[in-house]
Amino acid sequence: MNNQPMVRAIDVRKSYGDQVAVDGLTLNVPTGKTLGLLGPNGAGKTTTLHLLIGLLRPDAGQISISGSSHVDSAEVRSLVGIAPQSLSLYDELTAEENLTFFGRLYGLRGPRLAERVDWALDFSNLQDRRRHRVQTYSGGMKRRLNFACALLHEPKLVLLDEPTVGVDPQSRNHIFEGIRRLQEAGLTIIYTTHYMEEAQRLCDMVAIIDHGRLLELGTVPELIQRHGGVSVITGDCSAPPPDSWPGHWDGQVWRVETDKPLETLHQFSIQTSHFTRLQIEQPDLESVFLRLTGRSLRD
Amino acid sequence: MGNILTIAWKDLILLSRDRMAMFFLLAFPVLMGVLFGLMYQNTGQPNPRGLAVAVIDEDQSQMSEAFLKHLVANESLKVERLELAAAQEKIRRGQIVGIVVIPKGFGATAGVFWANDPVPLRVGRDPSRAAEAAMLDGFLMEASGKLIADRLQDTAFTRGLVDEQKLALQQDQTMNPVNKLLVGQLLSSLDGLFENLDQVSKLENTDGTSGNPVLNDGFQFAKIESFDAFQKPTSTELKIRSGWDISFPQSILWGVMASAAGFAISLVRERSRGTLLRLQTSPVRPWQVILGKGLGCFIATMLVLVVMVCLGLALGMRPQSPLLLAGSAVVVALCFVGIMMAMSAVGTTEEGVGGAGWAINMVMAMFGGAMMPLAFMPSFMKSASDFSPVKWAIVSLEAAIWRNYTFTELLLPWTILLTIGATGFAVGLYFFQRNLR
Repeated sequence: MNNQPMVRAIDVRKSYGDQVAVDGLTLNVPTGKTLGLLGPNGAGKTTTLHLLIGLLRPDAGQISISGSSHVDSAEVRSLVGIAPQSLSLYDELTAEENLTFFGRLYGLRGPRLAERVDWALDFSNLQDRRRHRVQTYSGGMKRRLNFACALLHEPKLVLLDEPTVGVDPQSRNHIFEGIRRLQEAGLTIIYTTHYMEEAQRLCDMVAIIDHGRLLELGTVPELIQRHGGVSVITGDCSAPPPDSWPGHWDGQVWRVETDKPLETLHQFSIQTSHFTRLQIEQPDLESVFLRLTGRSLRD
Repeated sequence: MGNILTIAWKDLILLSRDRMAMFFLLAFPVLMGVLFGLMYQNTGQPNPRGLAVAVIDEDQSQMSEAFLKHLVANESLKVERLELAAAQEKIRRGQIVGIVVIPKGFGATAGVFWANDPVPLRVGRDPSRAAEAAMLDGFLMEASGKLIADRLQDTAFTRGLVDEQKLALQQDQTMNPVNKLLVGQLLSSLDGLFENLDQVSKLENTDGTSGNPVLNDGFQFAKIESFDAFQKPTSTELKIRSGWDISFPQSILWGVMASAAGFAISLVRERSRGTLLRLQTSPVRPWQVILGKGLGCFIATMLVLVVMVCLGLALGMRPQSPLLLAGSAVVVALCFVGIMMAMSAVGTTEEGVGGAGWAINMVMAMFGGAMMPLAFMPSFMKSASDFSPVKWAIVSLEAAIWRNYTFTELLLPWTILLTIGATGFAVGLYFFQRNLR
């Protein structure tokens, strides 16, 4: 494994007038890893992406991709593939024409171009619709094609900006499967989302961003351990629990906080039959975000 | 170069799949060309029955009939005999230029240039068509001149008039004796003139023709001979050979402007649909994007020009210099491609660029002579037209089609057009790069 991070950002700042979009972002994305940028809408995730690939010029700070600080050079851009949040496709062209056009921009020609277009159509499961205009596609099909366009030139770094927004469950699973294949192939992925389930499922590391600031960066277990708090066991019961049980009973609901919920249940020989409903709430990224920002991801 | 061609090719495919854009690019200029052509189709040749006029003959005499015959014989007039009320209704509706009333007694003095108190023609004119009314006055004078010739042909009638004048002269006791002597000698000499005319008529009419051959050519106050204002001594066949020669530069310009306006939207459309972001993140440089767009626009514009020229040729346009026409077409296309680039990069929304594009086109067309000929414009608009690329584009095309410019003479309009195009490209590139950040 290459030790050099694929993406490095040091104290990057970007403002629009008085509005601070990115405030002192510092992070490293190791080669071959998937980083999730997690934050609510308007947190600065897309601006961060655009800064990382040179679409925006930072007011301060340094950014490098694969060791090069010339992030808008043709060489670096050839290493990067992006699937923007807004669909970046020509509706009047077919899937094949879209892919061919974007492939040519990356220098692909002749049999190699045809081979990559075929690969992308397979990847997006659009072989049978390859000669249909994009304007006839469903939202999910467009999303998949948008994703495939980012991979046509075999980039080393893939940026996926909210790739599952507005897609059906089938296309969402297809996209997840595609990401898994890219991870297996050793690509570095930066994945922005405001769905914590996706970040938790797909990402090796998660950066939590809010109001343009990087609040925390780490693996999902690390973040939960650091900021998720403890698990909570709650149970509905009309009779008071035995005095030996931990926690407290408010007359209807018994509640206890613990680091190890199953062990606690076992340790105190708590009978599930005592409850009409028993629930264990484990901390997740949502609770991490809530503790870090004081508000929910969906807010 | 590969990236530029790729972007241009993609834009042309997108254009070909947009029916509305194709209509404005090809069908619209063709329609404009045909309309302008129909307007100008009689330029350079006599206009058959162009000026509609109503005539009311209250005199019903031989001379009023002769006068009417001369008017009808004039190919520039469309003469209609009407009652006064019907004629007034027609002029109110703008269907005729004027009403000519031949009053009672007109025939008694018509064509008699020495008549003391001739009965005048009465003419009513459409006040909104002053130029045409003035032309009508000229045609009436011409017909009146022919009546004098008619009178001189009728020697018996004219002799009678002369005799009447002689008798009146003898009875006149108030005239100065010297003047009386001179006028008497003039009238006597007319007798001699009529005698000679009769003699000539008898000799010449052996070929079967009627009337006096000396006078048969008709009387003219001034003899006018036409010449080709564009013909040079060494040139052959240099003239407007068809109305389409004049109409097509304007219609070609409409096509060029439609092409520029259509492509101006394409760049901002890339932004609104998000594809610009993909272009930006690819290894393509901003200037390649702009040049790619420009190349697409240039190819489409040249296509319009070729189609329009072919249509013009089919309808009768005959360019005097195909080579210079090709040069003008390329220069005009480059100029408007530059203007397109500036328009597309300055705006940020499709609606803004689309609206501004056509608004700018309309202003340029209005001041540049694509809407109405420069000759009909007030002086301030003529001066302002120097700042419109449309004017220089029309001049460049006309120069090659019928104005017979030399290459050296074309350098001025070409330089102006290329300068505008280069400026547009620079402005477009500057704003495009600025907006990227």
